[in-house]
Amino acid sequence: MDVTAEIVKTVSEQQHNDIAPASIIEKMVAVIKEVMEQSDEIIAAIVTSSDGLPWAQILPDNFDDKRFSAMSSALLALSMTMAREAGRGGTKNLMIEAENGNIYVLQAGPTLLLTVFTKANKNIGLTLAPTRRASEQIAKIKKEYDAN
Amino acid sequence: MRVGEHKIIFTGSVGAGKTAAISCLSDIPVVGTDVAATDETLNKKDFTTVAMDYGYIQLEDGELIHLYGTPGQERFNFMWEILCQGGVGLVLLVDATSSDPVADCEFYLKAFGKFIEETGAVIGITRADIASNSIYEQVQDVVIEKGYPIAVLEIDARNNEDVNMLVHALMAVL
Amino acid sequence: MPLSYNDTSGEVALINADTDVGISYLEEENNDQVKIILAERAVSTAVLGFRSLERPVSVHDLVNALSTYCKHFSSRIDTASATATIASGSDGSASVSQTVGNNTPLLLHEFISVHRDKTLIKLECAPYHPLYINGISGTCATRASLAEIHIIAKETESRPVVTEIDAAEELNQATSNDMVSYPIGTIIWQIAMVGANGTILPNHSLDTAVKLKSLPRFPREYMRNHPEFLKLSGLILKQSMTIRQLQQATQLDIEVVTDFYNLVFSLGLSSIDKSADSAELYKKKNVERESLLSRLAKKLISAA
Repeated sequence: MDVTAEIVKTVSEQQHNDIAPASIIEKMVAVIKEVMEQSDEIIAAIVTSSDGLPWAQILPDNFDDKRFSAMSSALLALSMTMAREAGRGGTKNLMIEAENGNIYVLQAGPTLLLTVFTKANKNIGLTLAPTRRASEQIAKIKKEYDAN
Repeated sequence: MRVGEHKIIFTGSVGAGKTAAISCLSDIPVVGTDVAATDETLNKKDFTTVAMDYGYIQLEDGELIHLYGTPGQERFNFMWEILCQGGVGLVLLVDATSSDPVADCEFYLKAFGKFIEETGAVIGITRADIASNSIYEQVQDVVIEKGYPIAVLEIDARNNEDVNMLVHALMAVL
Repeated sequence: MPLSYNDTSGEVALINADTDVGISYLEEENNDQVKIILAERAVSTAVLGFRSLERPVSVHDLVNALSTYCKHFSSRIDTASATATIASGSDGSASVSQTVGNNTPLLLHEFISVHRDKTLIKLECAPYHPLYINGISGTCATRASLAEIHIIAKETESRPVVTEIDAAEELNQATSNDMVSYPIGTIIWQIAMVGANGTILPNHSLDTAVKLKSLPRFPREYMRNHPEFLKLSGLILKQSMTIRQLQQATQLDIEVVTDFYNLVFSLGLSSIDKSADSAELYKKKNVERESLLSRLAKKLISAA
């Protein structure tokens, strides 16, 4: 898989997938869209089930949503295990700082994850804070859905 | 003091018994990354390994044999490559009760083909006692056809003796 | 202790095992006696020298049983010369002596030939029940119990006599009363497990190189008690080796290696590799890895 460093300007919106209920996909996409609008630095995002299946996304065409979903799930699961065993408690987020930008993986409620990709930035707080808020909103959407 | 890693990789389709097998062998409680399943995995069980299982066997002199279990679903195949690095051999578990165990077997032999050629493998058929048909001969045929020196055994992945025997058979071909 | 084949006189006792008297007599040890047991249900005769017939016994069967024993005792002197025509046809290659040792390699050889040539034979080793072997269907019909087959294999004096039979007779025998039909593989296992005391199959030698196509389907119990067979299998799965080389590589007793060789060859799991350079010594690769793996093996065995 050849992922280019320069993120494509046009991003594709969520297509229907079989796993996640269509009714809430739209809502989740809206949340992602908003967080991307709030921060220029955030260039792509995906909501995933904890076992690695894609739910809602705004990703460039050359990003393989299935692959990244699985990777996010693996990374976060392993992080949570390590943090727990090291006595650091529950994992708030996993952060990868790379040359061309960062990736955050956070829990969005007990069964979902939010993964966010950023351009290179100096102030991590600027991208992490909206990301965290978005994850809380996603968690809420899921919770309301489950309650009905 | 360790001279290079010694790892045995455990793979196979979902529910084949990888996590159970490592638990039998490991001297430490298995480090797992199980989460709730949401896909067809649910037909077999509620939880599934998403990153890996980890354990080790400690030899008399303190040397460690690391045991890594891969997730079964194909979407986690990037983990297969990562986990195989530095491995000395592969344990492939095939669930006899799955819808097409022979196809499963062929799939994993292909996916791990390069690794198997460089090291070695053994196949453990699990749940053979519950399955309605014996797949032993068919699995043997697949192995013979591929020309790999792979031993095929029927085991219970939760049974210490059986899993020991399986690893023994792996070492016989390494 | 029942009659041994060196005795020239003794008794044949007919015992009705369905009466109390009969049962207690049966349990008595009587020297110089062979027992023919008549019972409503044939009992498995695991002991040398006994024969069991199911009641009601036909005169024909009783006469057969009696005459078999009589024939045997009268031909005791001829036993040595009854050594099978089986052992002939040596291709001149160096082979371990076949006249010492038990029937195992001879029997295995017959099974191999029958399967290869698709023939039908009657294999008889007096005074035991004969075996009717069908190389086409891959079955062996006999009244002998598996225990009796073990005894036949262990025999060192009474050698098997082989006669070719036609399809009609084989069918007739196979479908008779009390005949049990086994897959040839099952019988081969039973015989091979008896062991050959280090005698190799006829026409094979310690320097015949073979390669294993697939692992024998060892029963669990067997695997547990004979981990050395796993090791041997592993070696010749990867490359052709001779018995000598296998013995060198594993440092196991030559008898164990030979028994393994006989078993896998008889089951059709190994094939002779004529191209292999048997003079070349088995080379141990990666000595360090070998020692690591043997330490792991040690730990696994002790944990079991």
